[in-house]
Amino acid sequence: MTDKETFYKALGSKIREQREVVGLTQAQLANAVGLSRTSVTNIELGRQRLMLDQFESICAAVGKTAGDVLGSAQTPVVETRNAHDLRTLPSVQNFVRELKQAKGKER
Amino acid sequence: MTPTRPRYARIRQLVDELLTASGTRSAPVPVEKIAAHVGAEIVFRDFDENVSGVLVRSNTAPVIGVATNQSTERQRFTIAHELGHLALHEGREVHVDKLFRINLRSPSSSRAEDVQEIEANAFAASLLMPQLFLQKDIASIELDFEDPSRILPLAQKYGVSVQAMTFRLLNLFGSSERT
Repeated sequence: MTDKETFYKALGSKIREQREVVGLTQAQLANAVGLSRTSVTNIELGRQRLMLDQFESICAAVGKTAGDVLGSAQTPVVETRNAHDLRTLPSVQNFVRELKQAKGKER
Repeated sequence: MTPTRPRYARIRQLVDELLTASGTRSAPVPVEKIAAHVGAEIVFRDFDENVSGVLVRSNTAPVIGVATNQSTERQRFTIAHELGHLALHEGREVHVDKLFRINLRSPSSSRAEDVQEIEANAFAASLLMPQLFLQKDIASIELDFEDPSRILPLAQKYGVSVQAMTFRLLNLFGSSERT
């Protein structure tokens, strides 16, 4: 899956989430923003890429700003690393170093 | 071993076993006690760089580092999330969980890592908001997903954010006829 596909899937699920929070059906949302219900279905599934003005209309219809919806499209992304690869995360590097020192003292 | 899709049945089973073994029968789920039960040490720490939690397995006992600059609810979720990694994912030495905006996601992040995160989040949601507990609690109140004031007391009882509770309720009980 490409990054774009991942992005539109995540965005679509956020749109769906917001629509469900306000209790609109796909048909009602489609009607409110002048799209077909099929388009809304496809947008929510990430299968259809939408124009910025369409996104803005959808956000308005669910009572959110575009920033709210994009901001909520946060996802925790794991970074799995070995201890020697923590240079860009000094606070974590220090944490791991201290744990190892503590372990050494126990011996 | 890296699963290609989230193993929800396995997650449910692991969570049920943990709840039973730790004698947890009602909310709020004592997530720190459960961590102790599986032999994980919890250390609160001021991490910067958007780090919410760290799982370190280089020591004999696993250590979960939890960022202090988070709400109690978010810290509970972080601990449960790291417990999920511990139970489900074979150990790299250091496992760092950060919050990113999806559009800032690095191109190198692979699907396999996404599945691990989805699994850890599902584990955390199941552990903190067990389906059986919720079924009992919402049998007595009329549930209205559109009304956050109804969800707030439930979120407070379970020690989770309103957002996490809303998401969990929609996942468990959200009816498909709403589409």
